[in-house]
Amino acid sequence: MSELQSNSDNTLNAPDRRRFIGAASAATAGLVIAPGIMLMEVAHGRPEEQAASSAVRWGMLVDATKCASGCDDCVSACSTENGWTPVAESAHPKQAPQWIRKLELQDPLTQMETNLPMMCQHCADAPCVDVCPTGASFKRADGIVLVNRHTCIGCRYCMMACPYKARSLVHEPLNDTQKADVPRGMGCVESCTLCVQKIDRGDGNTACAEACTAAGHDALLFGDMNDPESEISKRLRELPTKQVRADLNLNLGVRYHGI
Amino acid sequence: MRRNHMKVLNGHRDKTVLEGIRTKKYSLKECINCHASEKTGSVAASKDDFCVSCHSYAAVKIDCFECHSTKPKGSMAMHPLNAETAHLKHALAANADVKVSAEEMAGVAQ
Repeated sequence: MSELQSNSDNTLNAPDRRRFIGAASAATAGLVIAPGIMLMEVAHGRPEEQAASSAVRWGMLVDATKCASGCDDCVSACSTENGWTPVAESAHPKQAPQWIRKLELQDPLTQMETNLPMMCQHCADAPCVDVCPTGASFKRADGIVLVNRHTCIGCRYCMMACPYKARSLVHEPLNDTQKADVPRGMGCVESCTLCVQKIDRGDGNTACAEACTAAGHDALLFGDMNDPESEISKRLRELPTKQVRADLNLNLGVRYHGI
Repeated sequence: MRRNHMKVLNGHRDKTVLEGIRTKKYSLKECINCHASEKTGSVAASKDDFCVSCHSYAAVKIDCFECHSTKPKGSMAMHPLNAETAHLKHALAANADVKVSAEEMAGVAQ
């Protein structure tokens, strides 16, 4: 802005330039008048025609102390939203695609039980992206790790590289049962997309987090980790959280509390 | 469009997958929403459906629908260049000696 002002001194007589400066300062005033609104726009969805930007980093906070034993609402919500068959209903459960799974862990010494959902951790330095021979496995500007099915050859290197066993290969033809928003098909690897279709639509939340809130557990919190004012950033500042396999130094997008 | 639609779709594909732009202009879903057939509710279910009608004639296999749904989400908005109203209509009209009205021709030409 200051650069603009200094330029304008020389060209104040040019009517076009003056009109432009007027419009520009009006836009800036809009920013000042309603900072809250602008922030919401940044956090909950860019304009639809704009590319995803690295100003945002989508992430999730899992509060394992609130995650209820026996509840798998997040898993079924994911399966409904993204159109994958629940493992229990699959003809071949051992090779059925699974985007998110519920883990129930028990400490062998103290018998303490921990419940948590496990899915793609959306690493900043993702091993699946490193090993992909075709570049199909990629990280989008806003931190979401995705598979480009147009270039995926189904080699499954990424499945071997992932420390979280987050990826699956689709082994069988889906026969046009896919959701219109979520294309997926035989011979391609897939995993949690942080409901990328919902984010691009501007929903600002994932199906699993919505289901968890609806069930009254509030164990999943989705948001922009780059925005210091977002709910997830505030909670991350307050709560002690862990990254699973933090020793690998992958800078995860999914953080756990209470594990 | 008939000759170069694959190039357009490839460009749109990259915009959507890599950059996350899913507006109408870049969305295969929107193509399908308008071009799905009234009968089958799909663009590739029967051989008269929009995509298949040309592709079977040209003997070119379509890979899109290995992964993409051929059915529109929600309500359908019929495009004038739907399979029932476009080139097939010309063929049917020629064969069955049915007159195509001026209005319909105007719709096809859009």
